[in-house]
Amino acid sequence: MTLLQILLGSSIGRKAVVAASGAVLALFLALHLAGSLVTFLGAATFNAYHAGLHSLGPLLALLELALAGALVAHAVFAAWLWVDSLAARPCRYAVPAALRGRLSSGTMPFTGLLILVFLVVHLADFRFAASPSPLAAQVVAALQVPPRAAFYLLAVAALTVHVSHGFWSLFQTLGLSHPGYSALIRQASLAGALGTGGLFMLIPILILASRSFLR
Amino acid sequence: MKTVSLKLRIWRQAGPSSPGAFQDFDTGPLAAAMSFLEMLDGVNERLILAGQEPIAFDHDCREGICGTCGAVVDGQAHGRQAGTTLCQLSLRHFAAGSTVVVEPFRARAFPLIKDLVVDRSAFDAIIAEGGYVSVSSSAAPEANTLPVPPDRAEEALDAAQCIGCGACVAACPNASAMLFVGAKVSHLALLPQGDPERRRRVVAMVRQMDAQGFGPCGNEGLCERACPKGISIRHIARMNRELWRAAFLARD
Repeated sequence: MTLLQILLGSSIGRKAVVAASGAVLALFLALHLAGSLVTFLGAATFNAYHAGLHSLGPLLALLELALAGALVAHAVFAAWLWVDSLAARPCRYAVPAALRGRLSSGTMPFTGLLILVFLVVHLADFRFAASPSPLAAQVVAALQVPPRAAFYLLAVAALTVHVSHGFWSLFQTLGLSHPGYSALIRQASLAGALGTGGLFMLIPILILASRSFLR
Repeated sequence: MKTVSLKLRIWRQAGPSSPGAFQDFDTGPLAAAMSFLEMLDGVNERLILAGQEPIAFDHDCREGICGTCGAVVDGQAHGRQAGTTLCQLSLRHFAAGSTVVVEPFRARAFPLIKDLVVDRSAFDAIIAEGGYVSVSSSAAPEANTLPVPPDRAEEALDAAQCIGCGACVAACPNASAMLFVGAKVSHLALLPQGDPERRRRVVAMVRQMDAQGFGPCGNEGLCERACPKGISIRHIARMNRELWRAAFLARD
């Protein structure tokens, strides 16, 4: 059985595709958070960071392409696994399960779908928006609308829940488990997800609550 | 003597393609020290005396080591008492007068035969693919000629506690058999006797697991909590690692 056969032909291989692409997406999320935190340094610095990022030119395009590839692989293979798991139990139990998983692990497909919807909105807002104004002004314009800000907060909450299980899960799937550090990875997943989610949430909250933030 | 009366709602289904439904029974007062299966025996005796069809359920050793018995009781495989099989579950764990719902294990890979009896031969097919070691059956070597570090022996024995009851599949939201297969792969991968067939074993067993129609693992860990032997999901991680080892290393 070649590696490709295992990756495409076995459920563990398909999970590994989801895990590896999830790792790429998690790495991007960390970088994206660092970029978003530049908003705390003021509008001018944030716009300068945006310009600097786009001066990378073809390198940025290449990175975006790799990221899009990871996202497609993650979504397609996760959907495939979801369909497989639904088919594996055609007849449900009459009594609801007494043993419940954590909120995060049982809701992965749903939080994932919500994140996907959010990504469409988010990319339309900032990546593909043909706006003449600088990025800081675009961010303020989009997020000072309360329903829009509320949707962003909801999506980030879903992302927090998704990553808190996903980050730990990818180590388990890729076989990177050891009694010595498994508990640490689990705690780090939760702490990292809560930290990331909390910091992302600050931005729409501050835009709504403060008159000076990013103006 | 402490007694318990229960109202039972038990899944009855005459055959694989017949429609099924719950049937209600009142047990009357029973000794609290009775096991769950002894209670079912009593219900069956009454059914037989009344000229009715007894409830079909699987059982064999009745001491928690054979893996034959199993049903989902009140939404949990082998009932809500942790670390026990159905035959070890005693009536003292139930509130007097409560309604107890008994269902068969549900999974596409475990087709129902009758009432609470499901066909778990999918597990046998997986074992036949590699859940064994090939050794010459001459005189066994002196024990200490095979050095096994004590921590590896412990870890292997932890995995070897698996009795193949299928509770992990029953409890998994995806009806995945990863804990069962993980325990078998892990157990043999940790020991020198299992080493020669290590790569072939994991690939063949995983392929058969998928072919039998079990679902994929979501790393939720419910299997570990439902397992009557408390087998850890770190054995699943080890199986994943074994598969990558088989994929990346040269062929045997």
